[in-house]
Amino acid sequence: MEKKLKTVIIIGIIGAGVAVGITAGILLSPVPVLRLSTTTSVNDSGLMDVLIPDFEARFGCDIRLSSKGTGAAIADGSNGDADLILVHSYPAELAWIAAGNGSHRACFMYNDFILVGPTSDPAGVFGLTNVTQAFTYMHDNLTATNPFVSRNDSSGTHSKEKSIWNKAPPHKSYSAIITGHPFYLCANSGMGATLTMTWEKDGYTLTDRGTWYAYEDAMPGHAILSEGDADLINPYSFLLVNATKHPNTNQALAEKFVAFCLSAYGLNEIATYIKNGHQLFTPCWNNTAPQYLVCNSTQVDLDFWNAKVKEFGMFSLS
Amino acid sequence: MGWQSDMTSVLGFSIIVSATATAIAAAVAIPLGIFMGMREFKGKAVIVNLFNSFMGFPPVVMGVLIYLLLSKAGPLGFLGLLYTPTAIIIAQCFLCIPIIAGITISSITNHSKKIIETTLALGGSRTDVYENVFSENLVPILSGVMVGFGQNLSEVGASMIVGGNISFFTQTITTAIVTFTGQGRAMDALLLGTVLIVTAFFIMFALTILQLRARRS
Repeated sequence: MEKKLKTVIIIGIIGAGVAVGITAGILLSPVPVLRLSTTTSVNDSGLMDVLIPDFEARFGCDIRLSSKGTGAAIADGSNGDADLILVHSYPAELAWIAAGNGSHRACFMYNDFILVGPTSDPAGVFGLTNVTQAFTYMHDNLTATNPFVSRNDSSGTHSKEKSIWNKAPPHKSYSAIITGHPFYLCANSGMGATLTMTWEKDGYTLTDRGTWYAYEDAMPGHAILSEGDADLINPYSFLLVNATKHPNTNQALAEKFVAFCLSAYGLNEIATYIKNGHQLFTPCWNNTAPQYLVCNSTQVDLDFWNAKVKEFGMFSLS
Repeated sequence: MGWQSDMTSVLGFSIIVSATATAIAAAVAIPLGIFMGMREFKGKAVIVNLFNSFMGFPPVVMGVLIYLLLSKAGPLGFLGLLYTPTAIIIAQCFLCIPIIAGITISSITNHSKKIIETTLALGGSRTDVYENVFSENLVPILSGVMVGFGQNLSEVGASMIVGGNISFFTQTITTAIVTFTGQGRAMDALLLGTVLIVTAFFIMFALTILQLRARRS
C-alpha cells in the first residue's frame, strides 16, 4: 500500500515537473513572436499560408495568425491583443487610426466583391454592373424562398454591403432594410458559413471573390450574377498597432513583416498566388491609378513603408 | 437601445425553444424510461449503458448529424427545416432524450419492485401500478428533466450549426454570445451570459420547489 502511494507521488511530481517545463518553455521561447489578427477572407484564401512560412523561415520568428471578422481584428488591435492587423474596411480603418489605436496604413492589395445568387435569378440582377441598381431590384423582388443573406458580423464585407444599401433606392437606408425587409436574413457568421446558408436558402449574398471560388463547387445552382462595379473594389491594408499605448507589442517585427509583403518579391508572390485556377489578389502598393482611389495610401505612409523596405533590405529578396 | 430589445427577444426565444425541446423529449423519454425500468430483459444492461454514454453526447456532433439530415443535399432536405427554430428543437430533443430516459431508468430499476408488489397486494390495477411507480419516482424524474433543460439552454454547438444564428429568427442566447465576442463586443457577451445564468437560476429554483413538494407528498 505504502509502495503504491510512493509511486503515485513520484508520478505526480514528474507530471507536474513536465507541465511546468512545457509552460516555461512556451513562455520563455527564444523565437520572437508576431501576433497578426486578420480577416477570415484573407486567411481562408490561403495566401498567408504562402507568405508566413516563407517569412518565418527567412527571419527565424513565429507568426501567430488569428483569423476573425474585421470588427474583431480591429478590436484586437485597440486592445493590444495583436501587433499588426490586416483588414479591409476603409472607413473603419480611418476611424481606428483617428482614435489613436495605430498608424501607418499600408494598403497593398485588393480583390473585389461580387453578388452571388440562384441561377433562376427571380430578382433579375444577372448582368448588371451597377451594383446599387442590383440591390434595388433585390429589395423589390426578394421572396421567402429567395431571401438575401447578410453576414451581419461587422466584417469588411458587411460594411460594404451596408454602404450599398445606404445608396440603393427606394429607402437609401441600411437600417430600413435590416429592420423592415421580411426577406433579409442576418447570418451573423463568416463568409464561408454565410455562403453555405445562401445555398441552403436559395438566396442572394454579397461575397468576396476569393471565398466564392473556394465554395462555388459546393454550391450548384448558384452563380456570380453581378460584378465589375468600381464600388465593389475591396482593398486590404496592414495597420500597425500603437506601441506607445501597448508597450508589449513587437513593433519591429510587425514592420519587418509588412516590409516583406511590400517588397517587389512579396508583391510578386501575391500577384502570382493562384487558387483553383484563379488569381485572388492584385497588388496595388505604389499604384496611384485614380479608379483605385480607396486603395491609395497617403504619401506619408508610402514614404514610411518604402523607407522600411530599404531599411530591412527587402528589395534584394528573391 | 436597439440592443435591449434584441436581448429580450433572444432570451425569450432561447427559453421557448429549449423548453419545447425538453417537453417533447420528456414526453418520449419518461414513458420509455418507466417501461424499460420496470422490466428485466436480455440486453437491458447494454441499452442502459448506451443511454448513459449518450448523456454526454457532444452537442456539436449532434448538430452535424442533424445538419446532414436536414441540408438541401441531405435525405430530409425537401422539408426545408435547416436554419429554422424547428431544427434547433429537433437537435436539442435528441440531446435531451438520453438524459431524461437514462436517469428515469436507473431510478426506477432500483425503486420499483416493492412499489409494484405493494400496489398489486393492495388490489391495485395495472394503471395503478404505472401511476404509483411514476409518482414515487417523481423526484429523480424531475431531476432528469432539469438536467436536460439545463443542457438545452446552455448548449451552443447544435444551435449554431442547425439554427444558423440568424438574427430575430434562430439566434439563441448562447449563439448571440459567440457572435458578440467575435465582433469584439466581449462586455455585451458577458452581460448576455449573466442574464442567461440568472434566468437559468430562477427556472431551476422553480423546478426545485416543485421537486421538494413532490418529495413531501
